[in-house]
Amino acid sequence: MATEIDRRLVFFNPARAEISCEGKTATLGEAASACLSLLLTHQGEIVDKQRIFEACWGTRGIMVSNASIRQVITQVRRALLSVGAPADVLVTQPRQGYLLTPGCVTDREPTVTLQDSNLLPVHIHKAEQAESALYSNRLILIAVVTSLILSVAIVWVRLHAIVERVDYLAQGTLTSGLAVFTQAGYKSPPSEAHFVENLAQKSGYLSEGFRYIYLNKTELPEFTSAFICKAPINNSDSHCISMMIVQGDHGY
Amino acid sequence: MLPLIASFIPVNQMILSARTCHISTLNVREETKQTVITRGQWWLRFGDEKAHGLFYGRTSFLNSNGAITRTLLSDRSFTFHARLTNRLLETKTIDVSRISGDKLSDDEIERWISPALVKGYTNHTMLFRTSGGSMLSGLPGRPAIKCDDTAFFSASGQQ
Repeated sequence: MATEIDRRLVFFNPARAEISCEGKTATLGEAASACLSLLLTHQGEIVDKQRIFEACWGTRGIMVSNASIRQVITQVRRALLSVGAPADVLVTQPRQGYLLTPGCVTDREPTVTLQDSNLLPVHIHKAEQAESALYSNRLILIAVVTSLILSVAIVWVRLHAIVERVDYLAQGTLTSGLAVFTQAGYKSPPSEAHFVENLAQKSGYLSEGFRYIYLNKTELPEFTSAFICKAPINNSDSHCISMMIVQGDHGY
Repeated sequence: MLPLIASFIPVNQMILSARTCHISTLNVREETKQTVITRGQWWLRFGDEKAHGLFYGRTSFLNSNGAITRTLLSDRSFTFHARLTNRLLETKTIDVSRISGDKLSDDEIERWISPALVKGYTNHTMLFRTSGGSMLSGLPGRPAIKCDDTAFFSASGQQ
């Protein structure tokens, strides 16, 4: 079963003597770069020390020992491991040579197509997964926010179904300076505001700074209902007095 | 799921629960031989259906010439059940205590101030809201009481 690490592909740039994988890079020496080129050309095959010697030093007329070859192989292996290549990327075959595991290193720029997306480097897969996760999270977030808004709307509608809306309309100002409002839809008798004003005066409220009269709808002439307030009724500091005036004994 | 829960939230209880209401009232009764004026202050505290209230007021009796002939104080604490049902606030006064200084009888309280201060009285009122959010209560289409502190209740029950 293929693991994520198996799919890591190290890119080797011979012109720059550089290898890279998932943002990690490592630079090779001249001999190590030549050695990796040789191994890459014959990946999956055992390359013996003689061929490595010819590729790395042969053209320069330098004689080197077996230890130098092992040193170069070590450099290549360390560089490959440092960029994340699998541990068995470069295998030593005792008394035969060295083998570069196929499918681990390439000198071709990665090109991405949908058809071979399984062969994509891991960082591309991860980007796709992250994008997919982000999209899913956005969907969840939209669903949660929509659900919350809907819930608040339901509670708001249910609350307002219990409470009836009432409005007051400005009617004018009395000579004493009191502003008069009446409940919307209520045609107040002409003398009602003066009647309320007189009783408020008699009760001592006008001297206490009450300046607004709100006349409420009553359908019986014996009843008068009003608010006298220090500030407009919608203000939090309106300090309204609820007035209920009844005229007549009504059986008492 | 949340909208489903929201549909079953007991909004009736939400409106009343743990609300405090302060109401200032002026009751005027113009009778043949006298005018009776009561300035009253109410504090109401709602709980889970059971609520508590305090009232104190000063009742002045004026003769036909407008002169004050006598003044009586009333001072009562009371307990009542309150529940919202069928868009109406139903209150029932279940217990009343006179506080020192209370001079009015139950009949006088009922006649000049409010029967809500008499044990056993049941009242039904509607709740109203102005565009600015002030809460009122009264009979359908006829608000009569304004409650400060954003609570709802009709205290006097008269109209």
